[in-house]
Amino acid sequence: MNAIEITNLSKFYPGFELRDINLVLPTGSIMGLVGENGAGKSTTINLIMNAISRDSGSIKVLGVDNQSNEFNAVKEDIGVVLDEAYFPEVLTPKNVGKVMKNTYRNWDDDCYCNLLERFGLPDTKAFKDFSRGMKMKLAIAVAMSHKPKLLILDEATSGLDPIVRDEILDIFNDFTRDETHSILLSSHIVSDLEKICDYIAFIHNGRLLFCEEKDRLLEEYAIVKMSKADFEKIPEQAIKGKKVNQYGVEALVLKSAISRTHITEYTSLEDIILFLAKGEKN
Amino acid sequence: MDIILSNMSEQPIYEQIYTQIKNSIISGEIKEGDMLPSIRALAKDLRISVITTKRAYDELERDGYIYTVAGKGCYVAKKNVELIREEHLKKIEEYIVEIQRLAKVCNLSRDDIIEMFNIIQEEE
Amino acid sequence: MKALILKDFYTLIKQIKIYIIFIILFAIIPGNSMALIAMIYASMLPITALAYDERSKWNSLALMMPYSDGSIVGSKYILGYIAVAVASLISIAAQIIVSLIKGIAFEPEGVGLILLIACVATVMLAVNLPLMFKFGVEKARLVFLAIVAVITGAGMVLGERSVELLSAPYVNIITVMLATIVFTLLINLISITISIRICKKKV
Repeated sequence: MNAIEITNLSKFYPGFELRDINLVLPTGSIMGLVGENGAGKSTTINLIMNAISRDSGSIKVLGVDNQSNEFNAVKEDIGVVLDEAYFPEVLTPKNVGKVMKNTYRNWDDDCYCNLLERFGLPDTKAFKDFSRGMKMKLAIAVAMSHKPKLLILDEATSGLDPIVRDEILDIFNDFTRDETHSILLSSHIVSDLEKICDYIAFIHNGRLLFCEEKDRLLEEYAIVKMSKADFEKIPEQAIKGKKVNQYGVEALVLKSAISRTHITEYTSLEDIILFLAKGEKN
Repeated sequence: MDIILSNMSEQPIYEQIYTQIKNSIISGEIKEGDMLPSIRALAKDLRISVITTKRAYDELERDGYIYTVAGKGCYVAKKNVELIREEHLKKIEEYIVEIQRLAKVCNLSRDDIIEMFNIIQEEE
Repeated sequence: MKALILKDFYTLIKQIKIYIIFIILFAIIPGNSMALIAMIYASMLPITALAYDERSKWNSLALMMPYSDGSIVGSKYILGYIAVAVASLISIAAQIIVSLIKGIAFEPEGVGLILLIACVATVMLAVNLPLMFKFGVEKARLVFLAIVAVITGAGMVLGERSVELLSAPYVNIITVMLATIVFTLLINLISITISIRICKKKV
């Protein structure tokens, strides 16, 4: 059973459409959803949780159709962190704990308190006095304290400093030591996704450009810099994106099509995504 | 068992893992019957994808270095003498190719090389 | 639903503390107009809670939690009812205490009046909430003020006439009470149905 199965998903808004999304998140894996702001990541997440209704296609979460009556029970096993949607600001973490205890059947108070302590969140300080990082940490603590099988995180690391981000990524990494646990992590900070994801799905202008194993992407593609003359020699289908200026060409190519000597630097996931996105624009 | 991975290497990550574990097995650092870390634990400890560690383990199993017991884990297989010999033969071939290349650069003939070989052998 | 009411309770704790102080103060001051204000304040609590919810975009998160259908809407109504009920009880209790202190006989009509006022407050709640759900707190506030203005105006115009009506022989305090209660219940039922439908449509 897959953690998430999306088939032919579409949603239409005046001025924006999400079209023909097909995506599978295998159980036990971490999938990063990348895309620029407005690409459709949050819409996809809202559709997955049935917070907004879809115009076509089907979505199954943890094996259950998300529009069926059984889906509410499935929400017990899903931990959600959203970008900028939180608890009323006057609540303290302690208050939130009590509310969540009455919300989730499997609420684990010990786990919650441990996470609060680990994150250094004061029990009785009102939410509105928290920094952005602390707000995120609290949301994450809540999402992980009811024994979830699936974590859905929308921009859970944006706006956080690198140390905190690393700490949180570590926690997500640990979460999937259990093979029944899965994570869908949407972010525009590609370097974070590169650290822990198994799969990368790239959404651009409402379309899913690709969904690939992260390591395969890094194995297959490389950024090369060469003269225009050399560049002409590369077969067209091996070129996935390019930048031309008066001094030469910088391009994203399939490693198999070129000689190793042209590869002069490390190609990061971010480089790959940038080139692919720009390539689409052209 | 040390596994050091490099992003800058020409080898894909799964290959690096494959090679390093294989070398540990061949060198005797990990012994026959020793249990390897689970695919998932290894992935999480190294902070890499489970897909990649699985690929490395699959290849190690395919090549006979390890075997899996369902529900329990992966273990180091009996040292296959044939396999190791084959490994070494391959290495020797690689060296010979390199020697040939260098010889060409220095303009040495085949007889020159054989003479050099004999001299070194005698010294031993 | 219990979780949501609890959440609103925590959200409103400051307001509730102030509110109880006010009720006690008002109850001591003779006259029933204070009870009216206290009651209306009580029926406003769910709206304050909604305002806080809006500010933190809580609803987006709540939709992803396992709350039962209608409980997000229902919890606000129940919060309002509880608040009005508590306000009524405290007002009645205050009246009893005041009459004991003053050494005068307790007038049971006072209870009837408080009940009437509770009904008015509940009707206000029933009118307000669907507006809030549909238009959001800011816009709904304006619409609501407009409605209150109209009703107050109508009340002032009909003021004379209503006294006449009430003195008519067939009008019995009990019938008025019953009619008011039935009317209140109906309005609330309709309101809840409308609210649930509004919230379902947003999805």
